[in-house]
Amino acid sequence: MMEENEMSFFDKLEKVDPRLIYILVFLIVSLPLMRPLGLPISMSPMTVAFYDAVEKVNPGDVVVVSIDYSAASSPEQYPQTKAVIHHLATKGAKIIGLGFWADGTPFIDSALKDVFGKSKDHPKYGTDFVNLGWIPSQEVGMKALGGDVQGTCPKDYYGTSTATIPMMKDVKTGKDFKMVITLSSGTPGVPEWIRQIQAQYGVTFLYGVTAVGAPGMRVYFPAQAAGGLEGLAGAAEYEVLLIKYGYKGTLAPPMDSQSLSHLLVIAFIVLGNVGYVLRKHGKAK
Amino acid sequence: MITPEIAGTLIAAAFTLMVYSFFYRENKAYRFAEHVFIGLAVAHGAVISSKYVWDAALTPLITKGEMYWILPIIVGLLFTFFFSKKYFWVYRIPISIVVGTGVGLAMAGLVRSQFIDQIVQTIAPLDPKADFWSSGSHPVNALLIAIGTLGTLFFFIFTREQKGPLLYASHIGRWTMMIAFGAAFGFTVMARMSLLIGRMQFLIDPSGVAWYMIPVAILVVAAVAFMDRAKGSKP
Amino acid sequence: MKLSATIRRSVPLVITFIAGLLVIGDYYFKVKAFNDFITQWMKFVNVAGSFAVIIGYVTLTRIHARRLNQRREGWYNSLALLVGMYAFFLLGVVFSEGKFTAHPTYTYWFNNLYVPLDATIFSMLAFYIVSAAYRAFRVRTAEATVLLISAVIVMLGRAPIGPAVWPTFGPITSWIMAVPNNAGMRGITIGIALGVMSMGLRVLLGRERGYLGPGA
Repeated sequence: MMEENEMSFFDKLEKVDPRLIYILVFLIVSLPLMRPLGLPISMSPMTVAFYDAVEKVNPGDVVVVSIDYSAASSPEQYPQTKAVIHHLATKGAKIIGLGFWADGTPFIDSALKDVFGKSKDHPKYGTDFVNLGWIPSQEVGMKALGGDVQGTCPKDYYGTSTATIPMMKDVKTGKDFKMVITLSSGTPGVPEWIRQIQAQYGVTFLYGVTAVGAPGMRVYFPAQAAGGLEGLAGAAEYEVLLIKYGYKGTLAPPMDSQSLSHLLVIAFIVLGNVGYVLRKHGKAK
Repeated sequence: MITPEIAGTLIAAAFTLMVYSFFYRENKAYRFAEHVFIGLAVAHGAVISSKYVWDAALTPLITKGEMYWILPIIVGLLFTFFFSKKYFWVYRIPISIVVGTGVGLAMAGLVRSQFIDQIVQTIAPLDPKADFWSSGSHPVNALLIAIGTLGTLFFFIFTREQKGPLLYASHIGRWTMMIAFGAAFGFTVMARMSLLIGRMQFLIDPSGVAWYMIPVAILVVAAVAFMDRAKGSKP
Repeated sequence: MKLSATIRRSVPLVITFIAGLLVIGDYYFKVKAFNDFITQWMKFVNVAGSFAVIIGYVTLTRIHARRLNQRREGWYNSLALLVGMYAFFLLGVVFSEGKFTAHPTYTYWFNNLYVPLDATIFSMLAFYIVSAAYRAFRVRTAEATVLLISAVIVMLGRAPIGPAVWPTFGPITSWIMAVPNNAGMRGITIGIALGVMSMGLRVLLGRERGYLGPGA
């Protein structure tokens, strides 16, 4: 009798209105944002490797930061973008911002404004950083970029001729890149950059990806990619490492939300399977 | 005083909540927001493509007289023959150029980066001092990676009957992939939650004005739910 | 212009073959004149490929203009789509004073309308993954159990809560990602490479014609 009641309890639980689950998800995600738990952020070896690689950048080194994500992935990857550009600026790198995703290129301008205060109107625009905007045709565009940077990007994002931009004077081909960092959520992304630029020109290559893509990108570490930022957690870890450069991170409360939401998913999986196992046993008897 | 920034934030919040209203039930507000998004997405692609054509082809054509840029423009315009029943075959010319170039590029590149380099990494020199928990160069880890990689490859051999040693290797591959896919699922959960966390951060940011729309949305949904109940219809 | 069906079908296949061969040749042969030609070829393909968006524009206009004309159910959504599509395009191309997407008004609407909509639509997946985890993730087999255990360890290890509760979660997660995940994904990557190479050969040799559209 007791078992039959347990069975029907789990049956009822399985048929619960999905909207109750959605409300629970809303609450679990929102509450830590309003009242952070303050859980310490642990380091991933991939993030440490990424940080160490950028630490080796010398003043004047040309570093390409490619924004290869859309607005859909911006909650994970825009924090990566800001942190990366801040770190590179601290190292004195010459930053070339560009992208192969049409949706992503306005984020280059936003990130430059967030890090430097201004983009095109900044006094160091053109000497310390430049925004070359979108390059079409995905992998074909990457190949073209490697062969002729100025020919592939004749004007920057704001319409200025690339030939007149001071820091682009000595940047002719992929050989002139010291490092390439792609922040990518799909295709074109990491494999395409590795095929067309890293393998061809031996450039130091780093990536930042959404968490979905992270497991698949591990195969490129460490021979082809020197490090990687994996999702929002990667961005949060990177922010912690940049504290010494005065970077003010904002990802501690979201990571608390991440923790609770993971616990929620695990709880639901366990609950669902407990019911399944009990029902299976009940039927077997 | 409603500044453009405040108006923009309220518009963003309103459309965000219109999309989330789908969780109550399929409704007109969600459909409206979805259609607006599709229109904007296509328009943005067109704007940014127009800029590239202007910068890369039309500007040197007009200002420097580089007449050869007419060729890619003409080839690109051949895409419009997609809509012609009689001359549809003309559309195949630009598509074959783009596909042929892309396929050749991918094939040339991935032989090295996704085939040879991956095999080389599997048999790369070992480092006994490497960290066991995080490095694939540690001897034990390197051996396990090699066995797992081979097992995975053997799993996908379907041209021979899988029996004997091939079957055992295939089983190793299957278990290796189960662990890998479990890790992938864990990361997928992490990714999806991150997207929601980003939107929630925007909506409930106390320093912004987006959260003003939340009570409005709750009232609207409550009113609709009340009306649904009154009508006796199931949402 | 009337050409035989054979020529109409063969010419694109020959173009595909030549285009692919040129690019593969560029990879393996380092001859300056040839490599410079291929770099220019890439730039040409970049420009030509940018026109493909016209197809999307015209198709959507046809479909939704028809819906609007016939006043089908939800016709106002089609109106919203067309207004959004053309207004945004005009703002970015015609009224942007040559700045295209860098124009402040364009950027304003991009940041306050397009980005929130795109991000929100994708964020809906979070709810579905929780719902699916609850309803569909069942450990019916030993393999599914292993998958679940791996998923749980990684979910706990990559979020702060795992290492906070038990510090060993971090190293275990790192090991799972560095060893079995790497092994499995590497095998899959090599397999994909073989598949792409064989598919690429089929496309270049004209055995695969789906990309040419109907009647190829």
